[in-house]
Amino acid sequence: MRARIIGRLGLLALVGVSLAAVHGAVLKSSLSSVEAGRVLPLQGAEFHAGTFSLVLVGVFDEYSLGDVEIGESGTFSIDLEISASLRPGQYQVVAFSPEGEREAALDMSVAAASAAPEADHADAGGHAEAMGVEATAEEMVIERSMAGAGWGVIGLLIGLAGGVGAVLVRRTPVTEA
Amino acid sequence: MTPKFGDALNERLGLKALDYEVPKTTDRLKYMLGGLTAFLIALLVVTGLYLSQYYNPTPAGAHDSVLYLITRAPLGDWVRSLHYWSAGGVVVTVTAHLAYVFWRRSYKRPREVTWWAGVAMAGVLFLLTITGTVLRYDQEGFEALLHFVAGGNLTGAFGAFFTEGFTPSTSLLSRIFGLHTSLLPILLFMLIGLHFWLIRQLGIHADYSETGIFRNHATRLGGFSLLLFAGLGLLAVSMPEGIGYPAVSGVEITKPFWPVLWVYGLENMLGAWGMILGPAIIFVFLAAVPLLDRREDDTPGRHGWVGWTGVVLSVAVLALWLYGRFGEAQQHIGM
Repeated sequence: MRARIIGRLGLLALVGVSLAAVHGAVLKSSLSSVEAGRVLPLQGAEFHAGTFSLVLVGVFDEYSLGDVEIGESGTFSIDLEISASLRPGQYQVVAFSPEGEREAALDMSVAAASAAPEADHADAGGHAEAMGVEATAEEMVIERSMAGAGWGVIGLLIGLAGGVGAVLVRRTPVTEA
Repeated sequence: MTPKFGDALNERLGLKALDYEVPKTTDRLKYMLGGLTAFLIALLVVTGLYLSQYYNPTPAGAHDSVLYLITRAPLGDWVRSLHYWSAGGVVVTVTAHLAYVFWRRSYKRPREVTWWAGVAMAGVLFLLTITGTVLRYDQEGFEALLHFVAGGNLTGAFGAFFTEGFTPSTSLLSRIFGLHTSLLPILLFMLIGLHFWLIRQLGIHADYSETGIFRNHATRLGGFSLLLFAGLGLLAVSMPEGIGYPAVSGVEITKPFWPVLWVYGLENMLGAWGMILGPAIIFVFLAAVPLLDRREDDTPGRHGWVGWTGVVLSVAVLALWLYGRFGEAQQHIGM
């Protein structure tokens, strides 16, 4: 009985140690949305000592926010200047280790300078306006790039559907009820 | 399919159940419009599921995520264009189906509920069309969203869901995304289930003197569906759907997705109320048709004044569509 209890306690301890090992560095901020040109307060914890690069990673672009020196405590607190020319959108603040490893990340939306907070649906309208863009009903000029394999898959799907469809329509089987 | 293989499938999947009698006329394309609509809805679900893997339904991330879909997601540009063309296609098939069923007077007793389920489905598809437009979140999408807000404000408690004050916990865009991808599709599938069940139980309004079997009809319908897929796939390749620039508030300069242009035309005449009154008149009339057409017989085309009302409304919608399409873009809501 005692052996079983000790065994279970040991198992629990093992799970705890594993969780602690998995639980790594963390980035936190009092803001979930920041206006371009404003300051973003950022805190970090559970890091190992060293110089970490902070990068704002968007869907299309990355912006360096500078480096942060972290001591033995593994924590830091810093105010980051967000460039006023930053493209509004959804980003992640990512901390990269000196070895270039992605250590921690924090979701962050960036609004244009005069835009409303993220929860307000009207902010999209404000974004472009604040960036000095005029309203237009035109469509964007997009460079559409598709790999050869993509065209192959599409061609195969269309060809197969067209071929099988034609056969089914022309040769509908006649079965008595 | 060899006979043995076919027999093996029949035995395991109960396909013999599909061998029930249907009128011979169902082999004709005009009796397949409902089936083609169902196929397009299935295609919209599949392409929509793919798009939702990349779409970010937040005001800050939506436009960029659509750009990402077009430029970087594997086959994203084609799948999105296929979704767009299928949405247009479903408007065509459902309108043609509705018009043909109306002309045949198939809504007569005992098929009133089948008709009402169909009209409700058309209403849900209409809502799916306009909520889908918002998700682009470019200038056109943003203006569509502001129309939802204006409509919500005009209709008071009925439209509270579409107002800014509904909840501060999430954006209206996110809620419209939820509406487009879960609430409305669930409602649509329930109505489709009811519609199909009633058709199976009551049959369709057609001549049963010459019959075939449903499996033949389904096979032929499958063939037409695949041909339709091929056609839409080619359209998606040759005329891919684009996206406008990020929105600027305070102006209304775009026109909506083409199926909604008749509502836009009415807005040009009545202001923001047009977007509520126009669809309301059409759908209330359609829902009332089985109650208004009191003639005993069910001969196609002999509706009396109900038929003429339908013709007048159809001509009005067409005229409004042309006005919306070719008239000057106007501002309808106070922005």
